[in-house]
Amino acid sequence: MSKLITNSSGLVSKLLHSSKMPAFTLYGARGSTNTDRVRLTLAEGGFTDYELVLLNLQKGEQKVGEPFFLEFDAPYPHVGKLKIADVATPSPRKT
Amino acid sequence: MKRHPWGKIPVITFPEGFTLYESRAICKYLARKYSFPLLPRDSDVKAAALFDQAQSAEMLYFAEPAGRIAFEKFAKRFMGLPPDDAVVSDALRSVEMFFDVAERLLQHKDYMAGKDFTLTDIYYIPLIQRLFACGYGDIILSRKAVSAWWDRCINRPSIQKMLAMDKEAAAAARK
Repeated sequence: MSKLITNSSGLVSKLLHSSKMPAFTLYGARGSTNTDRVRLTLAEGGFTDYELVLLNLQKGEQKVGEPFFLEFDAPYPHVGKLKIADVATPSPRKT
Repeated sequence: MKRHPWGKIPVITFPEGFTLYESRAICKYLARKYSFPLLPRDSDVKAAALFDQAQSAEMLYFAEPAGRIAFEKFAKRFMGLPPDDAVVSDALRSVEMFFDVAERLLQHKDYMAGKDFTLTDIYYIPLIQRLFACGYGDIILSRKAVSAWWDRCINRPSIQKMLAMDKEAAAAARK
């Protein structure tokens, strides 16, 4: 069964220690059309083994924490961990 | 920010650390990972291309203006800001034009990417619901083929069930 967590503090790790670890955690917000796109996909697939954490966007909970490191889809694998800020900054145009 | 570099939602995280953001990428990944029958078979190259085409049309020609309407007429209400009517009327014109074309296309196919219900159809549902909530449901209902497509989408049992549960939850939250 999917488990719903509404969490105003933004700290969810302690809640993940329930008896069985869900397959994944979906972070979203109530009334968010983008979140509902994912929820509808899961509903249509009949998949319920996930945890839904609803963040409070008005409190800016989705912006809490340090920027994360891309470990899985770094465009230059030999660089290893790549900070997203490095990717987002346009490089000077070569002439 | 820990999970999404632009600090947005949704995001999914897996226990082993894999993190993914952007709703359509998440939907596609989940459908592939768990074999939901919502994507064309990989071996059917043409069907896969038609899916990509339908997905781009949804994202660029529909979700962009529909999202502007939702922001002006829905989100701004919660921020205590008035809607920008010029933005709304411009976006409404774009959405109307989009569905004029969709009306013609849907006379030859049941769903946006072809004969089968796919993720692309799901992608439309939340923003169309938002259009209804903002009083613009007529954009859908006034077009016969679009309206029939919409009925086919929202009458699917699992979707109907989720929408009904959300409606109940919203009503309970208002009490």
